[in-house]
Amino acid sequence: MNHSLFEMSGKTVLVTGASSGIGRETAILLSIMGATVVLTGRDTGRLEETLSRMAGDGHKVEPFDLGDVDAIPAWIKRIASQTGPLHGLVHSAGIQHTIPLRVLSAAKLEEQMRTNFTSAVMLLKGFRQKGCVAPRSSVVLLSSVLGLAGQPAVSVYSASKAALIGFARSAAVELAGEGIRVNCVAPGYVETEMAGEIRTKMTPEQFEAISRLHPLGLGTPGDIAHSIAFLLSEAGRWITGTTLVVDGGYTAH
Amino acid sequence: MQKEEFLQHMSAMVDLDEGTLTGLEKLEDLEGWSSISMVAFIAFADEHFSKRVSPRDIAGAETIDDLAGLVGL
Repeated sequence: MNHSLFEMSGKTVLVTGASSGIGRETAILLSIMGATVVLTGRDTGRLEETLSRMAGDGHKVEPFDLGDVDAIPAWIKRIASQTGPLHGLVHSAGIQHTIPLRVLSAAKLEEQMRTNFTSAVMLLKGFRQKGCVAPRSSVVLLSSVLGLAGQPAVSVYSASKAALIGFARSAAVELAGEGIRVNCVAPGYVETEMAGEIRTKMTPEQFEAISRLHPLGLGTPGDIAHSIAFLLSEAGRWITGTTLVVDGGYTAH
Repeated sequence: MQKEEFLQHMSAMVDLDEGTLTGLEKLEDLEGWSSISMVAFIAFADEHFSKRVSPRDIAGAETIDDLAGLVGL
């Protein structure tokens, strides 16, 4: 086995949602693997906190509101002009609203689609620009098991995460000739701050029911970060357009 | 938000026509009141009143007016 395939030294990776949860853990892991990481999110203080837990130096904190989707490509161009071409992009920023259809508004629908899906498309549009991307690169979009299996009151979240899976397939085919691989990771329920927020809206019985749907128990951000790192690394060089389900057995039922 | 508008939203949450709720209705008597209504109420309280209502708060409510109290109406 060639362990150097997992080496990330000399590679620069942009991570969205790096202020908490899976994005933060991914940034930390990539730094340990030798990568230079550009951290983005809305909250500078929390990004600095992620940075303080990372290994190595040369990392960059770049606060940005991905809701400003039209500005994303130019923003990536500016980053790449400072860091040099990017080898990887991880889109971990996302929101989950628990809203049954009977009270759903178009505004809430569009907010979720914009944050979870439209931003991913614009990130990839920016990433593939000439001068922004290194000759062999890899993109990982954070989908969800809810993009593959249903639950009540999260239909729009499910749709936004399923959209990423379809987008990754066609984008992978379109960008293969440019040396860009595009994949999704679909986590089950991972204990993050976002998940904690959702948990406050459940009864203990409802939470217990979700736990039971994961034969291996609930996941940690590290469980997901390892899969992301694999897809970013040369160990995943022949993988594109796919979705790696990392869910403790949730979708095995 | 005035009480009247609140009642309109509540009607949608329990699948009743607008203008049919007075506030005095007991939740357990409303056919459309379900676990999905509870989730809907939590989302509604958050979106329109910036109030965090827990499932336990809702379990303690007996009437539509009790729910109004949870969002400060």
